[in-house]
Parts: sequence; structure tokens; C-alpha cells
Amino acid sequence: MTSRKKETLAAVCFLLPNILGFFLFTFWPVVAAFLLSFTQWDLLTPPHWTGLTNFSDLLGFSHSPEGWRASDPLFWKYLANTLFLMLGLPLTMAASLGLAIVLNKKLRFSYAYRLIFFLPSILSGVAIFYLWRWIYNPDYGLFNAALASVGISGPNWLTDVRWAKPALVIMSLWLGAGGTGMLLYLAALQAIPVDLYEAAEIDGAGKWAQFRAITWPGVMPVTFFILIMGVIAKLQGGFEMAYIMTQGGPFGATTTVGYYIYTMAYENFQMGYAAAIAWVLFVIIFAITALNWRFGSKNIST
Amino acid sequence: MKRYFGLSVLVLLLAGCVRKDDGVTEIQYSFWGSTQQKVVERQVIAAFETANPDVRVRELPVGARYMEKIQAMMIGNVAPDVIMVEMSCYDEWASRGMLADLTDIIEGMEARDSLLAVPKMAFSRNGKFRAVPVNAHGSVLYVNLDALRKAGIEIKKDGWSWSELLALGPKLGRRGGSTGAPTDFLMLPPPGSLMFFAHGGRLFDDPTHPTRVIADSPETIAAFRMLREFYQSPYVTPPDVSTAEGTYQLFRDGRVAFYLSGRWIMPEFAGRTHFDWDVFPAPAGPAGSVTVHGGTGLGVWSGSRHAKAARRFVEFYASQEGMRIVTQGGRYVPVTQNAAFGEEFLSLHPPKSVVRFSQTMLPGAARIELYAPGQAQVSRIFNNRISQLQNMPDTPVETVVSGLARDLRQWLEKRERLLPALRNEE
Repeated sequence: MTSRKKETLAAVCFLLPNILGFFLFTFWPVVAAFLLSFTQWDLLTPPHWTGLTNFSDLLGFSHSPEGWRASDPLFWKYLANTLFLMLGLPLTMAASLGLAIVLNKKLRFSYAYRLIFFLPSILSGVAIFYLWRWIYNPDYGLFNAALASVGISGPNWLTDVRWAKPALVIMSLWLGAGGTGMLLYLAALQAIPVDLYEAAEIDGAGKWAQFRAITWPGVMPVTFFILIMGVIAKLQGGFEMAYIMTQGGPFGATTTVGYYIYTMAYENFQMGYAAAIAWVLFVIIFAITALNWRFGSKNIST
Repeated sequence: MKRYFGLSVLVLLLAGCVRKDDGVTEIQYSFWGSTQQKVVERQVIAAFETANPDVRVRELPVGARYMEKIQAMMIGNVAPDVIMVEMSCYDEWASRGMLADLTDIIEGMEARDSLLAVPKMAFSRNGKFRAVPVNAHGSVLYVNLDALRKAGIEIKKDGWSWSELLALGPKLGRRGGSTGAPTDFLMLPPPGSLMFFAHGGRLFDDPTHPTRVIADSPETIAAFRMLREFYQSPYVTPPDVSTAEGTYQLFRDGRVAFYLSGRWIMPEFAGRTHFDWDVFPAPAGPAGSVTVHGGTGLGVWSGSRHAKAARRFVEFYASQEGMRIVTQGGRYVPVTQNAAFGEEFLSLHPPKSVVRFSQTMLPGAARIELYAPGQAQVSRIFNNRISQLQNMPDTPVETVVSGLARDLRQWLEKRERLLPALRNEE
């Protein structure tokens, strides 16, 4: 066997476990989900081919004397919830950048601060969600106790339809601000040559002008990356948080599309319908990501 | 050295793979419940194994999400041989042929002692049983008698109506502003289904073969109005108090005067309270005092490779000896007439009025549960609207009720369209 063939064989051997894993546990389930989305399957009896019924049930609208009505109003409601929870993304990104800028300064104990800010990202999600359930408890929770100390009567954070979503946004801000985003920003900030700031200072540029002219363009590629990944994660996510903290309630106020897929698949046993929702979600994510690339990448100067 | 080590590991692995055939059939039995329930299940298993030395029962206690887990096992063809079933999963599994026909076991039971009407009706489908009822439950009202005496409230032998109960709030609930009242709150927010049934509410024209939604009725509106009054009462615990401090704990610790639950919670109170208490019929509405059947049954998985042994276990569980163990566990109401009204069960004090548990299972006293195959989904739709009623106080009751009816119609239409196969099996 020639050395080239040996090398190829070795490469194949090294890649094979990963490729096999990908085909078995990613590619095949994706294909299966696509096929299932055209069926009605309750798991216990064989799937029935129903064509595009799941998609028309999901996305269709009908006209009645009361006006236009969605075939599945819950899907639209939960999609709106998912988009609302995405409001946390720009806030989290801004907070991550702010923290990274502060930690990039030569502070005493800066490594300790980095560790502390990064801690929420490495702690168990379940434990954190339980902790926040207590923080939001209207009678004994930290939040309402703090509000009460300044004379404000806090709401029922997780059981009030008006406050449940903002409560989850606030929590995700705390969770995400010091996470991977902060580390990526920190790395990007450290890659900006110090000379640029020195030259700007000599030219009389203030802090804000330095941020606009040097820091922001310098971190733009990372911002774009965090935005893309964040949008994808937020559109897919929210399940764990809703499952533990609110069970999707009150009155579906915190049910996300991801949670709806779970409910349809494993509580209502409508696997075909769940697969259809998953594919519609995929198309939405794909479209938003494509738009991000189309318009967002123009602003990046590397 | 390495070679010997490898060889030893191989021998050990092979030894693990060899099945010892000792003539004993092993069956698996899945159930849910608390630690106390596990104790009772183990007692039944031990008694069965003593009487049937050729069968060994491997227990599979399942925590939360029981239905999902067992269903996943069914799909994987590894479901337990004997499965504890409740109403939300019974129809789903029975109508899809997942549970074996156990009508002959019921006939054997009835030859000894007739089944109570409610559990019998709950598991009977076209005269066939695909699960054997093993315990029966209806909600009763646990009452802190000392609190009522302190507040000067008359203890009514036949219980209270929902509106009478609501009116007692100011006398009993400290946290609602009545300083000097004996308890923090009147009660926890009442379950929507109890209120709905007590007002004569119905979701479908026929609960097992629904063709029409009749939920948008004056009865439903009346029930939901009353529910909203409870939710808005300062004397009823706000949702987060029960989240933080539990539900039955609030009654056990003397913080609520009334508590609605079934028999299963009784051991949490027996000998653990510092006050006198008893049970009363569930609060009455215009349709009387109606509770919801919450009992369980045992089914045999149709894919079981040890069906005979599994059936023997179910038969034993439903036998007089099995029933006796279950009854003495204190958490269950036996399912047969003589056992439920017999001396052995009625002497299990507290509470003083233990017979009221059995009375909830008499004809007309309990509704079977909501609704038809697909009960889990219908239940979710119903509870979702109850959540709206509770959490969106500005939404008119009529809007909530019409929303409920609309959701149910949509569910029914879809069911009719997509499940012709299921209909044939029914």
C-alpha cells in the first residue's frame, strides 16, 4: 500500500466515527422528521400519510363570520412569545460588550471577576432556573423584597400573564451577559492594537469617539457572529426554562415554539404535526439567518 | 499479565451474559407515586411472590411524566408486562390495542364481590375491560374543625356549597385582612373540573364518543364565574404561596381551613396535625356535590412475553388478599362494594368519617373525568382556559368560555379528520 493510500485510510478511519454518528443521529433524524411531517403518527400505531395536512393545519387561515382565523392560533401565539423572548438578545449582547470592556481594563482581580461573570454559564441550567423561581417568588423572593424596600409592590412575576415573559428576559440577561459572548468580546478587544487608541488620544478623541471609531468596528465580526448564533439559539430555545419555571404558562405566555414541539410530540403524541412545526421553525431560522448574512455582513470590515 | 487481565474481563463479561434459568419467570411492573405508595406496592409484590414462587416481579417506579415514559417504552417494544394506568392514558392505550383484554379477571372479581359503580364505569369500554381497577378515588373536602369552631362556624354534616364556602373567607382568612381569624387562608384555588361538574357543565354531547361541543353553556359560564370569584378572593391562597410552600402542607400546618383532595393524601395528615379534622363531601353546586374519579387500574401490555404471569399478578392484586394489603396501606379506597363499605376499611381512622371516601364512588357521585379518547389533550385545553380565567382577570368570563368551546371544536374537527383508524378500533 502506498503511503498516500495509507494516509487516506488513516483519515477515513479517524473521520468515520464522526461521520457515522452524524448520519445516524443528525442526518437520518432530520430526513425522518421531514418525512414524518407529511404523516399523522401517534407513536403507537403506524404512521398515516396525510400529505400537506399538517402544514395547512399549522399555517392555514380560514374565513368565518367573525373574520380571518388561523387554523392553529397557538402556533402564532407561541411564535410571538419566542420573538418576544428574543428581545433579550440585544440587551445581552450590549451587557456582554460592556462587561468585556470593563474586564479588558487592567483591574486588580480581573481574572476573578471574569470567573465570577462566567459562572452562570457553567452552572447547571436546572439549578439556576429553580434558583430564579425563588428569586421571583412574590412573597419571599429577592426581587420583590428589593422592590418592597423602596416602597414598590412587586408583581407575581411568573404567574402574571403580563410579567412572565419580561421575567424570563431579565433572567436570560443575567444568564447570558457574562457568558460566551463576554469571552468572545474580550478576545476581540484584546486583538485591537493599542496603538490605535494611543493615536486617537493624541488626536484628541474622547472615549465615546474612540469606541465608535475603533472599538465598535473592531468587535463587529464578533458581534455579527454572536448575533447569528444568538438568533438561532433563541428561536430554537426556551424549552428548558419554560419547562422548569412556568410549564409554559400562565395561559401559554411563556410557551415557545420549541416547547410547543415538545408538547405536540410527547404530550399530545402528534409526532407528524410536531415534525411539521420543527420544519417550519427551520425555514424561519434559515430565512432570518440568510437575511442577517445578506444585510449584516455588509457592515463588517475585517 | 495484560493478556490474563483481558481474558478475565472477557470471562466476566460472558458470565454476565449467561442467563440463569431457574424456572422463574420475571415480569416487570410499572407504577407511580410516593415513597409510601412504593411500600404498599412492595407488600403486594412480596405477598404475590410468596404465593407464586415461580414468578418474580421487578418493580419499575416511574416519577414524573409517567405516560410519556411508558409510551416510549411501548414504542421501543420494552414496555413493562404489568402497567399501572390512570384515566388520562387508559383510553389512549386501550383504543390502540396496547393493553390486553382483562374482562375475565373482572368477571372473576365480580363473582366474589361487585365492583363499585364509578371505577367499573371508568374502565369499561363496550363491555370490555383492558385494565382492572385496583383503587378508587374521589375528591373530598378536608376540614380543619378546630378552626371552624374558633371562628364560630357551624359544622354542617352534609358539607357546604361553593358559594357558602366562599362566604366563609372573612371569618377564616387572616391574610385576607381578617386579623384574629384562625387560619391564614380559607383554601387553595379550587380545581376547575370540580367546579365545572358541580354546576352541571359538560364539554361534549357524549363523553366517550363525542360528536358535538356543548361547553359554551350557561352552566359553564356560571361555573367559571364562581371560579373567578375564588381566584380573586383575598382569602384564597395566591398561586405562588402553594408553589413555595406546597399544597397539602398548608392544610397540615393549619394554614388553610379547607383542602380538597383524595384519599391518597390522608397519611400526610394522620397523626401529623395539631388540630381536629375530618372529611366532608366535595362542595356542592347547582348540580349537587360531584367529584372526579381519579382511581387507577392495572393493565397487561399486549406485547408482553410473559402475559400469563402478568395476568396472574393482576389477578392477585385484585383478589381479596391484594385488596386487603392495599386497603391497609391507608391511601386507597378499595374498588369492591363489600371492601369499600366493610368494617376493615371503615375502621381505618382517622378521619372519623372515612365512609365519605367510599360514598364518592356511588352512582352519580363522581364524574369519570372529562372526556373521551384524547383526554390528555382535552384536559390540557380545559386547563389552559382555566389558567386564562385565573391569570387574565380583565378577560370577560364569556370570552373565556367561548374560547374554550372554540378550542374544543377545533380539536374535535381535527380528531374526526385525522383519526379514522382510531375510530374503527374504538
